[in-house]
Amino acid sequence: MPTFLPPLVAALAFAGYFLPFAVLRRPLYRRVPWEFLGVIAGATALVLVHVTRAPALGTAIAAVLSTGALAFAAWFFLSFSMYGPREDRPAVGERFPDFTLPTSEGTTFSLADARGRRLLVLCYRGDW
Amino acid sequence: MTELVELRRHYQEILDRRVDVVAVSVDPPDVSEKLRRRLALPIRFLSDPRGTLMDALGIRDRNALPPRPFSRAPSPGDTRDIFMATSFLLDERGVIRWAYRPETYRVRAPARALLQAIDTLDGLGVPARCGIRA
Repeated sequence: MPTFLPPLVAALAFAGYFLPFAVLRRPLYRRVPWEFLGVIAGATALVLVHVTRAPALGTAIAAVLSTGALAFAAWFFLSFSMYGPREDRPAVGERFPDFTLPTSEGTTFSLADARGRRLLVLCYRGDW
Repeated sequence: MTELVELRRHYQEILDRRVDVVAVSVDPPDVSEKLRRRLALPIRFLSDPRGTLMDALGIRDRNALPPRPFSRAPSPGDTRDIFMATSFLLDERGVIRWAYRPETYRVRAPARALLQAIDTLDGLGVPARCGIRA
């Protein structure tokens, strides 16, 4: 097995998760992408076994890189990219808070303007 | 913004179900207008730079934008707070009938769940999960 393969697989697996966002502009709908984490963990396990059976500087470096990639991916998916705690308020069945906000076209829009019509409110994070 | 790209793919289906759409962010109106034109989406883009609605909904993601110089520089006095990506479906009386509150910004409301929720309002299809957590 080429020494560089496990860390390369780990890095490609992490990058592969973001491919649909970057290329297809399509969101992935999974809270935790276990399959990507699984591939990175598998590559790390492989190189750790290899380094115990055939210790060498190259395999040791590959093991450190793979373990680092796994730790980073786990931190990113399980902690960094998660929102903080919040209450689910207002809840389903409750009235949406009244608001008046400027529109991109220079007018204003109030919730009252939409009364009598069903309304989808998409709160998005900006241009990213 | 991924949810807006997804919305564009299914906009006609939403329109056919007689639902108006507004998109809200902290971006100033001129930035939102550029995005609206780029996406060619005939919906209203609203600006909430002070986070009034964000706080009323409890979806302020504090310091979510990277600090300068790694992100577009906010105006003096502005914060790096932005919305947690969240979707609400309101009925004709302004009552929330469906909400999608993911636990991570990597997840946005799937179009199929939204369409199912609208159909449930119409009495079609199986009931959608309300207040869903991804």
